[in-house]
Order: sequence, then structure tokens, then C-alpha cells
Amino acid sequence: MVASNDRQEDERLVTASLAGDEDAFAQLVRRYQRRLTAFLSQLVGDVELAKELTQEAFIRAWSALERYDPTYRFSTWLFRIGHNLGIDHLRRRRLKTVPIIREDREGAEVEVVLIDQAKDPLGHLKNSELAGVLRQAIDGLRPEYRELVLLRHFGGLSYQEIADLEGMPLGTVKNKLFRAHSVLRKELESFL
Amino acid sequence: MNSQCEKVRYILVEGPGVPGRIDPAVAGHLECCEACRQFAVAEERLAEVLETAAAPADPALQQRVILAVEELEARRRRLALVPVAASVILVLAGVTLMGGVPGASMAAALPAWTAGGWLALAGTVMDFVGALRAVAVGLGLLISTPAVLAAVMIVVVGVGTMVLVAKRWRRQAAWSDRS
Repeated sequence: MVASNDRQEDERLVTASLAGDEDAFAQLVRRYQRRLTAFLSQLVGDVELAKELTQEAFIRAWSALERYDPTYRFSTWLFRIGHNLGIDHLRRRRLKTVPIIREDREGAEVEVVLIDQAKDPLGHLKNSELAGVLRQAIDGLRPEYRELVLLRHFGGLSYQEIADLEGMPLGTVKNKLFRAHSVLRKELESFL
Repeated sequence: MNSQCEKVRYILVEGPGVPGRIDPAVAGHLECCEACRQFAVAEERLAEVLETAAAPADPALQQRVILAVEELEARRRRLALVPVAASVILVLAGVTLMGGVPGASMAAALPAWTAGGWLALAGTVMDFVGALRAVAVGLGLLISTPAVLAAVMIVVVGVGTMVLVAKRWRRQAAWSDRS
């Protein structure tokens, strides 16, 4: 019911924005800015860069608003724009630098993201030990788990929104998040 | 762990649809399953940790985004004026080349739109046709047929552009009239 109301409210705000009501779009910005920045911060590993990407995502959303398809939720559409911007940035960065690759717990290759302490997306946590362990736990996840965890817990998207965004069956999202949680619970055991 | 435990744990990982409201079936299972109760506590703590890990809202960023959007919208509207001005100039150029519009009788007909309106309109159309004929005769001596055709084309393109611009001035979603 809550999700349905949110969706209706988003549609109302999008319609008002298209009619030229900039306040309505400002409300959409207020609704999603924090979640999108939180998601992008973890994705690119840099808070300041995530803020720039968030701004760019909203500008692109505004520019393309008349092409938004309400079959999907506004949040899904906005996060897709943000996600694409984040991935584009990571690709560009990869072209300029040599990635450091290591193996995760299951033997799959994972790129190590080196984080500047000043730009650490978990830098706001008072418990620095927890921040460090959490960073390690999230980075240690397999990429497909990691992305779902970021969308769910930092982006605040529902399982259905994640399924729409990733083009995955809902059951697959549930399974992957279940497994990801098992890994996280194990890694963060001493804090839980 | 039996299949009921697994089902309950999937639900616990997914979290309650409405915050703070636990499914009665899940609550019933938790009452009698110690392992799942521990699982639920760990899951709740994990959700809390992840919740606090998300970056706090940044009001300055919100303001920056809103200002950027306002600037973008102002630029879009300014740019939309360029084709409006161009199309008005095109229409005026075309009408001028065609010899102008018989304005007097048309203007006289406009206020009488309700009473003798239809008659006045018919009269105006006839005036216009007559004027066009006279202009054509006159132009035949001064301007070549291709130039007249070009003028007509300019008017048509100008009017068409104005219609398109008017439609683009106010943004409208492709889906807005679906409902």
C-alpha cells in the first residue's frame, strides 16, 4: 500500500513537472536525492563524485521527462539513469588506470576499488572500525550480489524495483539478496 | 532448518512491507523456533547497520540540483523562442511577397462573428480570393510564377513551424492522454 501510494505520488509529481511546475520536480529531487547519492557513493567509492553524478542524473531525468514510461516506477527509471552514469564513469576510469584484481571468497575475480579516506562514502560513520569492516564486507561480495545490496540498502529500492531495473525475475533477486545477506551477516558477525 | 524456516528467513531478509509490521505467520513461527529467532535478531541488526551506513541527505546538493534544473528550463524556453521568431518572420515574409492580406474587410468581420458572422466570413473569403487574383495578375508583371510559389511555400512552412513550436513550448508526455 505504501509503495503504491509512493508510485501514485511520483506519477502526480512527474505530470505536474511536465506541466511546467518546477516545485513538483524539486519534490522529486527531495524524495530521491539522498538514496541516489548513497547508492552512487558506494558504486563509485567517492562521495563528491557521487554528488556530481546525482546532479547529472536529475538533469538528464528532467531533460527526458516526456519520454519517461510510467509502466515503470519513476524510481526505477531515475536509478537506471544514475546507474548508467556510474558505470560509464567506472569504465572511463578503468581505461585510464590499471585495475587491481583479486579473488573473492568464491574464487571469482573482483576489482579492488581504492578509496580516498577523505571521500570515503562510509566516512560519516562514527564507528570507524565498523566502517572498515563494512567496506571490506561490501567490496568482498560478488559483483552481482554487491550491486543488488547497494540498490536495496543504499538506494532503498524494493525487490520489485530492483527486478525491473536489473531485468531479472523477482525470484532471482530474492535468492541473490538472501545469499548476499548470509555473507554480510558472517562478515559483520561481531557487530550484530 | 526445515522448509518453513527457510520460507520465514526469506521473508525476514526481504523485510516487512510496512515498517514495524511483522507477518502473523512469521511471528507465530518465531515464537516456537529459537534458531529463526536468532536469525531475525541478526537480520534486524544488519538492516540497522546498513541503514546507518547510507550517506545522510545533503540539502546543499538538493538546492544545487534544483537551481541547475531551473537554469536548464529557462534556457530551454529561451531557445524555444528562436523558432517562434523565425516562423513569424517567415510568415510575414511570405504574406508580404504574396501581396499582403486584405485586412480591412477581415478586421471588420471579426467583431460580428456571432450575428452576421458567417456572411461576413464568406465575404472576407471572397475578398481574399479576389485580392489574390488581383495580386496574381499584378505579380505576373512584376514577379515570376516560381517566386509566387516560393512565397506560398514560405507561408505554409512558417505556419507549420509555428504549430510545431506551439506544441513544443509546453512539454507533454507521450503517455499523458493514455488515461
